Amino acid sequence: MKRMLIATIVCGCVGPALMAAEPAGQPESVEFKFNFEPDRVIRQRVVTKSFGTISMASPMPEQKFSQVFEQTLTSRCRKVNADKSAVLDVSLDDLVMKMSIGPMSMEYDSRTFDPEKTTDPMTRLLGKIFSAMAGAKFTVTMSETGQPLKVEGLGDTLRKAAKATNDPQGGEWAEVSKLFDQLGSLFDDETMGQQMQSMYRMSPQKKGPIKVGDRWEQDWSMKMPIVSGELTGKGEYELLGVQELRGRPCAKVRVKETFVLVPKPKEANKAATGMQAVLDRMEMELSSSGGEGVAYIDYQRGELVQLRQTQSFTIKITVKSDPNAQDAMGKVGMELTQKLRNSVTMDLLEGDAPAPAAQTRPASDAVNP
Amino acid sequence: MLRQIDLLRIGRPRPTFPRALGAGLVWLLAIGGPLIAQQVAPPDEVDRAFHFIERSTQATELFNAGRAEEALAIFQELSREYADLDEDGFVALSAADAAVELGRTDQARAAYEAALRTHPSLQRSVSERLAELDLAGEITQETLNRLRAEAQLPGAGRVLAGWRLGRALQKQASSLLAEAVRAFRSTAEVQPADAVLRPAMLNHHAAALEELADDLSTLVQHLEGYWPPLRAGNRRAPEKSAGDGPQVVAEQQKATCLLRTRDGRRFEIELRRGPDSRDTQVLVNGKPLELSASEKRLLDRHQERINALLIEAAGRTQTQ
Repeated sequence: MKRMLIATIVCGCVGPALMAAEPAGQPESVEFKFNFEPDRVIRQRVVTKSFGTISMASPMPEQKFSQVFEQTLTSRCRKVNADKSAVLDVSLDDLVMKMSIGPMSMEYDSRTFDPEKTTDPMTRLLGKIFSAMAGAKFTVTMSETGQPLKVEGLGDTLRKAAKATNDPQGGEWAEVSKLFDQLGSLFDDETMGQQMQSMYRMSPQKKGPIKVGDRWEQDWSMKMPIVSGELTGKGEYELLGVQELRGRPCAKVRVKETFVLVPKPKEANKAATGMQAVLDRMEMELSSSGGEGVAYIDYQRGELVQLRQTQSFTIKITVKSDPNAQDAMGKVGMELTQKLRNSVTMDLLEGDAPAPAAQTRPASDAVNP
Repeated sequence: MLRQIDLLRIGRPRPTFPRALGAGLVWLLAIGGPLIAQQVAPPDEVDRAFHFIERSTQATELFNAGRAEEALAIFQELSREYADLDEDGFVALSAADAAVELGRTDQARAAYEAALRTHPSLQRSVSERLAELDLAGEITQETLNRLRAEAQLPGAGRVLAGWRLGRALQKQASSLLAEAVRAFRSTAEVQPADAVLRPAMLNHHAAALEELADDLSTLVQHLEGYWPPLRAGNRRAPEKSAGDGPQVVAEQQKATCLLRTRDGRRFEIELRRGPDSRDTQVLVNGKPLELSASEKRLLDRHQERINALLIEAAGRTQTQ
């Protein structure tokens, strides 16, 4: 009886401690590697959820805003070069969006959208733009450390989206169509490549092992041609641990990122008309707070398995008044403030998509000598 | 008694160490479960933030879709469970906005004041919403006095106060006109036919006032009910029912009149209208007349009333 009691007490005290213990063999450090494999396909789903307010000058009351945005991206490694850089074919697949601003709402699903059956002009216009983006393909060349070196074909996607908005009958969206035409010329592949560089900041830049508890920082900037400003970002990252997620060995990284957009002074183009004239008088300020999240990165392949991050934004748009403007709104000007909270989830979708049936890989697409 | 215990002991061998360990494991499962559950990490901050954003997005979508009851339930749940994450007071304010949508004025007022206590930065938002609540209800003298004082203050706030003062006064005027009509009619009912204040005179005057009251009521309803920018907190316009359209539709209208002013000028007016008021054509002395937008609206408004009066009179004649 006494032995039974002693054994019970021992098990009761030690057992829970044993159960809570980390499984044996977890490394205290990792080394991030980017092992590209020809024909390897990865698919990622991005889901963004946002809510907040849009406020304009009194007496206009503020409107509540909500948005859910989902997109799937597929990336196939076309070839690995001798210097271990890789060329990836990326496509933007299914796109689903649901948005409401006050009593107005809009839903779009690339799988079911039919412009002929859509009566609302705004939904039809945005639907055409999204449809042009869904299924868009472009190529990214990545360095051996996962940095995007070059982007090709994305500018064509935006120009296609611009053409999709063109209404042969002109009408009220003619100005918007011209705007997108102008935007397409501003977002060339080089500009987009610079913007994509910022997406790979979660991996440490230094080579070699990273220990649990190690921290690193990244600063980056992106040009925002539409508003003649520069978006600067600052990120702080920390390796929290190493654990398996969905059967993959992952580095668990704490993420904290903030952004600021500061407008730059610009000279007004007196010859500009319509939407371009509005853009010339427009200034945008953006600031963020929070920006905390957790990323799980497969450190053996350099693939982002999961990212969950939240952020708060304040965006202020001011359009200065122009006494010489032809329209009433241009003479008065406008001020709009949007405050929103948003969550971003990126998940790796398991199960490689089959390679296109008709596509064969030329011998030259293998590792180049 | 002793013999029964002996028999029980015979049936049970004395426990050895392996058996003790087994019993210990049973104990372990019994007490370890709750201990293990306690040691499982509680939802981390990222999980909580995600849940808060997901539910807030859902509630906002419901609110914008006019499903205020469902939105209110979620906003209230978030206010209880995630008040620490409601940094800018969006959830607290939205719960009050949803109560307004549901016509729960007292609940909304209390919720706005509670939101202000926990989020002092919401001062301006809450003040505007409370002001709109005052305008939505019965207009009191206190409200009018406050708006009059605010409309006199220097600064940007006087514009908003002046706007609200106009709305409050016209709403009160509409209510007072209706009361005046009732007063004249009830007086007509008790007066003998040959009294100084003849019933016929009182009723004619009441009828004229009713026209004014009806016109003003239409204006107020148009401004307060259907102009989206006025609705604080995203209140939706009341759904238009089938009966909200004009009582009478003029499929075709043609009128001529010869007018002479006091100074002797003569005007030959020819008016042509189709079912769409945008088709209105006016000729004055044979020449087309271009009307402004507000002139067209006034013409439409009065012509609709003339048509309705004629139809009412025709209907009364046919039933006699």
